[in-house]
Amino acid sequence: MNLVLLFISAALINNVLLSRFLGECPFLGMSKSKDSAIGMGLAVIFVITISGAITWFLNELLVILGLEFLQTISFILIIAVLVQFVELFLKKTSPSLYDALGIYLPLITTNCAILGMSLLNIRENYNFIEAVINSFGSGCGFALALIIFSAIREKMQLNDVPKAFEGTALALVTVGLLSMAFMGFSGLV
Amino acid sequence: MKEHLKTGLILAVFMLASGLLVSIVYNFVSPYLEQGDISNTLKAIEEVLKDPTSGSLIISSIPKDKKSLDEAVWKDSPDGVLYTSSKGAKVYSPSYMFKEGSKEIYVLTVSGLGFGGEVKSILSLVKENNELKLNKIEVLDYSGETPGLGAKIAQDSVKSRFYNIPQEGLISGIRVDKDAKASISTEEIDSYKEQGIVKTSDIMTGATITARAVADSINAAVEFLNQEGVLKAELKEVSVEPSDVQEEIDWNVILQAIDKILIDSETGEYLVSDVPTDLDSLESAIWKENSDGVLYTSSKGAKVYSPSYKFTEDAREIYVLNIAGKGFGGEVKSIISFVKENNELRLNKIEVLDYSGETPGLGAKIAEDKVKERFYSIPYSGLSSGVKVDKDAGVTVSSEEIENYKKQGVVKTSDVMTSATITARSVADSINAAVEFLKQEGVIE
Amino acid sequence: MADIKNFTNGLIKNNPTFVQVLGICPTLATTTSAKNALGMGVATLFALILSNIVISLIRKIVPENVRIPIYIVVIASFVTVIDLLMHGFLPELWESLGIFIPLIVVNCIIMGRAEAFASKNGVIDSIFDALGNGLGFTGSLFLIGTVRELIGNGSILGINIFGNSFKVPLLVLAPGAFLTLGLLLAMFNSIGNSKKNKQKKVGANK
Repeated sequence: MNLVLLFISAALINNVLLSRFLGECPFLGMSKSKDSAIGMGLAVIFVITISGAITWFLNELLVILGLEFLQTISFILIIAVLVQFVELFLKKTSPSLYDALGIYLPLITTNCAILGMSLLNIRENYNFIEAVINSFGSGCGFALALIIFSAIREKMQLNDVPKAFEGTALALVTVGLLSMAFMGFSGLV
Repeated sequence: MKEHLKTGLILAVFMLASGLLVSIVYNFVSPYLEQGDISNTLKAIEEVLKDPTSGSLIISSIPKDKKSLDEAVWKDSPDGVLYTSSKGAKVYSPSYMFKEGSKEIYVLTVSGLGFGGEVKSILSLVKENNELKLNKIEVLDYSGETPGLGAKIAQDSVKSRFYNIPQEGLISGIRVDKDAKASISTEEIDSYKEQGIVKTSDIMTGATITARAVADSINAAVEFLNQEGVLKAELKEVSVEPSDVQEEIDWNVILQAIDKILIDSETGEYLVSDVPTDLDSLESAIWKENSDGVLYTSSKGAKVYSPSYKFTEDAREIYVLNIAGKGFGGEVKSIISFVKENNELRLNKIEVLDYSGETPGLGAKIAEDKVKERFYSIPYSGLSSGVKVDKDAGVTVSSEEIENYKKQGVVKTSDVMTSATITARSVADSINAAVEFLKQEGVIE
Repeated sequence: MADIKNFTNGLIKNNPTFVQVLGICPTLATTTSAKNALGMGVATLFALILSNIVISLIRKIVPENVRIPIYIVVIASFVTVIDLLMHGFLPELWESLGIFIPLIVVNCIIMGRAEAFASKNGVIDSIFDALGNGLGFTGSLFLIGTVRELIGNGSILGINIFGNSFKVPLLVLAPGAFLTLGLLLAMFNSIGNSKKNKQKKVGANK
């Protein structure tokens, strides 16, 4: 199993935001400035990789106990706890980043990308390494799309836009074009 | 402290209540879940046990529940997969066989790699009068395919393009034709089926990947039945491009490499008295060959190419094989010599011929002597257990350890070639393919 | 009447999709067909109603600092129940919606209504709020799903309308989701803007 190809597939071809539709809310909310986009992207990479690893073990435990139906509940609780830790950690080490991310940091818990990728790892029957690489790749894909988009948006803020399209509507149309561009990757693997 | 205890307690109470609620609902729903899962399979099996033209069942009694289904199990495997083809298509466990008079009907669950994941199907192959033909196929899971495009694979009009493929079509390997003709007559469709070509481009555009996944899965099923002796035929290797580009073979390079590997890795002397120096003398040593260039393909996609050579020197038999394994950027081609003496086989030497897809400085080091030597002189004990490359990054390995590991079939390369295990593994895979081929040809037990 | 206002608020004025811009992930992913969109909307509606009821009931006994995990537990339990019931009784829909059924847990609408409304209001009010937001969400999903299916596949709810002659498959693919939502959002924005302008004119004339 080629892990490099898995990483590329997770980051580019099946991009979390642009083809799987996970993580849209923070994407539309956090992409207004490049700096906060970078901070958010890194935070997401961190949380998604670690939660991918932990939830993989948790699922093994659930399978042994025959309690697979508790998957959703237990996964989201683990993610919530993980985000709390990241919050405390950031508060102590980089208060400026903590302030910049503001309300969006606890919102990483409800980032469907985190829970979504954790569930997908199980559904695709990945082993531990594959699950971690898949999660890590997805996080990188998220960060990549977020940063690209924030750069575009920063430029767009200076442009004249029809009033009806101002804000989210234009953002969505732009993302649609970005998504089309990323579709070109599908022949890569 | 008391505050924390109180909050912890309340949280625990809620989690318990939640767990209880969910467990109750789960217990209530689970019989329906099981029934749902098995009824899907039973329905699909019933569908493929029908004749595609008349619609009537080709068997007198179809399985109606899990018990009768279990009775029809033919081959199964504990890890769930019975066979994997070189294209990544699989035959799943269990497989079923139904007998009706002189007919044997094989029902297999298969999958192929589609656009967004595996495309799973159930298919029925009928063996009658020693001829095998593909009867019907039902596509079970195509959730990764695009609605309106690849997802059309589940429509009857598309599925029927795969029905009723005769044995000659199955043997030549099923492939989907990309030719985008606007319309096609039923006679054309049927005559193409005899050649193993399935036409879908007029009813399912822009979704060849999904159709190919189904074609791959059918081929895997046919290969599996061939392997199990149900079909006894020489299957052709399917090439995606109809025009085969024959690579120019530089015979000088080959002769030089053969010269090197005919030197005994232990004594440094030639294993044979007359080493081939030109094409003619090489051709007289040909042992097995075939017309399409490949003598054997392993489950890992490693190949033994045609022709293969054999040299005899007194009581010694030396087999020289052209092999290739899947490396990082393509095939890693090598030429290898095995020595059979006193009924024992050992790997003598290996020369890597083509490693152009591997990374310079990393995988490309495979061509260096100190890396190649790690593959020399592997005794039969190592070959029979399957050669594998050890990823253990021991910084230095003593030559005793290296020899010891070779006896177990473990090749140590991590100290002379780091971060390039894929390339080393492809060489190991190609060696294993060579050993499997020699076994198949009866050279060794 | 306070009750009805809670209902209509979520339906149009504060529509979760087109005004609050919440719950975008399922909106984009499950609107490839009108049927899937409808299924998703109704599933979310049930989860919303049930969680709003419970959270409103327990709002006085839940300590402030641990309320988020508890809300998560409540919402996740109901979503799991809905997931199981759909798997058992509506297997085709369950398979089409796939991973987005458990993802209802992190649908910002449910958590948002829990935080903003159910934790501060009575049960009856919370039910109306859930109905309003849920139906508003379902309605917008159904609208987007119909547009995408009609133009992208020439059918509505599986019934072929245009046949193979008029199709823009792009709309059923990923970019189409973004484009459809963006254009519809712009349309609703312009309707809202012109309404505001009219009101201003009326106000100025007075």
